[in-house]
Amino acid sequence: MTKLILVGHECVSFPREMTDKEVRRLVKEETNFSVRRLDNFTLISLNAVYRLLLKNPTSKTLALYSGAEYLSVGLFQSVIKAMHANEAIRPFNFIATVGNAANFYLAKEFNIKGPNIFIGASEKVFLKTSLLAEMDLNLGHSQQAIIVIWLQTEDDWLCHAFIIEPLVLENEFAQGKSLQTESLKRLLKPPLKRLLKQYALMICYKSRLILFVLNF
Amino acid sequence: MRKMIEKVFVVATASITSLGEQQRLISAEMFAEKKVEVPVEDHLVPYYALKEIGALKKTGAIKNAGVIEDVQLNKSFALMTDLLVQQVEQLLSKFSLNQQQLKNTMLFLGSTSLDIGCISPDDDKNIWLSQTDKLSQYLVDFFGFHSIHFTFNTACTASANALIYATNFIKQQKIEQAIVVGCEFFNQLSLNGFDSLDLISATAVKPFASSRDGLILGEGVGAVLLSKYADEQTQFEILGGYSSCDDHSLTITEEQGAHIIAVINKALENASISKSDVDLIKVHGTASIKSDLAEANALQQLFQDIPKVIALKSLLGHTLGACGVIELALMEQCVKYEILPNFPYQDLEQKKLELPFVCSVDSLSSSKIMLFNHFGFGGNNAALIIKRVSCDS
Repeated sequence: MTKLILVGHECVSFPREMTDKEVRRLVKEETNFSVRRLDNFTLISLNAVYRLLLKNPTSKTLALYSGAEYLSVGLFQSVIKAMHANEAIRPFNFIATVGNAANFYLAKEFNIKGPNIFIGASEKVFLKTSLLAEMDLNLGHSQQAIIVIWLQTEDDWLCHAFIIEPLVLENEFAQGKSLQTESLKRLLKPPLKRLLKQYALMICYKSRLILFVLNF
Repeated sequence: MRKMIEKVFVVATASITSLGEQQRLISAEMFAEKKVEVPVEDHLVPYYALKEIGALKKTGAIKNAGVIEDVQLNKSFALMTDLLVQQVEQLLSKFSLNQQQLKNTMLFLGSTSLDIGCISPDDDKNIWLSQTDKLSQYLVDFFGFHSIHFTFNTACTASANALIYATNFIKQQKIEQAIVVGCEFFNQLSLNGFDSLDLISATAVKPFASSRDGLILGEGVGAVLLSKYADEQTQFEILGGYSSCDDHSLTITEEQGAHIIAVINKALENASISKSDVDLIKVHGTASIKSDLAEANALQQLFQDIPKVIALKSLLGHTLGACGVIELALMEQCVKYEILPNFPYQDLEQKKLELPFVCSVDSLSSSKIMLFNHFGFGGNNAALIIKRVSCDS
């Protein structure tokens, strides 16, 4: 059983009816990143990780694991429609359809030098991405991992961003020191709770949420 | 940090690629004459498609292709899953697993385009894209694999990454065996997209030839069964691997090869292997001008004497996210049956090749430590280190 510390979490959402242009303007205003031509999928993840690292600054080496039930819906659906209408595809639009395109921009903006993986997952997305992170953290490929999860629904675009790291307080646990447990209900809002509940056990220790990644 | 104690073996492989019937002939030749040759003129197609469903259209390269006429290449979801099931069944016929073992077998699938070739617009729905794990979920339901399954979507490194993480799951004792699948099916988006980037060859796929002018896409399915237990047929042990993102450019890795070198070094470190032990390199070798340049630069800087290399995309086309598994499966077959495919372009361009290619079966089958390179869009670069099991004392 590996124990991981949830160092921080942020969530960004936009109403679905908001256009790429409007989202781009909002993200540009908040982050000052170069966002020209980027699609919603990439923009919302840049915004989420920006807030995450603003509140949880780090100098540790980072890896990135991201997952989504759908690829960039707006982009893909427009490109597929164009294909069906026998329209030529523009090179940039094609490149933007690469599943890990958002991961590329996240790596570039936030200096993520470690492993960088995008997976498709319709369920247990947090568990799956955390398991991949756990493998690499165990191998020392990075000191912290950023996890990004997109939720594209009929009404909203949501993106969760987490930062996790291995628990290095094994000795304190082994010595049976008492843990200051708080109510998860107070800590976690419903969307995050839903994402994390796939873990069998979560406890709060010194104001940090510790995730027990169970063997299965 | 957890000490890893498990070894990981490639205990069965299966693949179907654009070679189609020809692949079966080649397999027959593997047993009989031990010689494989793919005529150069067969490279003059815009796309290597599975013959079972489509047919090869022999024209030169295309520009903003539109639809390939006269050839029914579009796949249905049922045809895609049939091909996937066939390959996994082939695996399981070589290394059978009981019901309980199947339930504990984790599936790792890698693909760039997934099932996008069979998705049609539906104006009645806001979201009509497929779920990203639809193919892997189908296989899990069909075979009764572990409920946790992974779909890697990291461009052309997708199934190479699937192999790396499946290996780590076994090494770190999460599971005892894994099935890793790489699949890429014909779709107009990939064909037109690569064409729009001027990456498709007008002549033939000639990795590392000075006259190379691009790639030809291919479709195919590959599957490998990884286990911590080897049997007498086992050829390969996966020692380790590594992948990460080069943020130089979304379309091409840094041309001097710095990021490729870093990834290979990390893979070697992860495998506890010195670079001087590597005696064969399965290059990525797309035959696109810049990608091959970056790989050649990296290998020239990394190795004092570059080990012999082998490039497989002139046989298979570039199977994008599937190439990690498909090329591993083909290499395993080549080593097992002591076959070196013929690459006619290498004979024609002997003095104009930028890397030293394997030119004898002996050289191939005597290799002990192999480096497998894979690079992709989105800056993702990956490397795997493979050991010949028969060389294990």
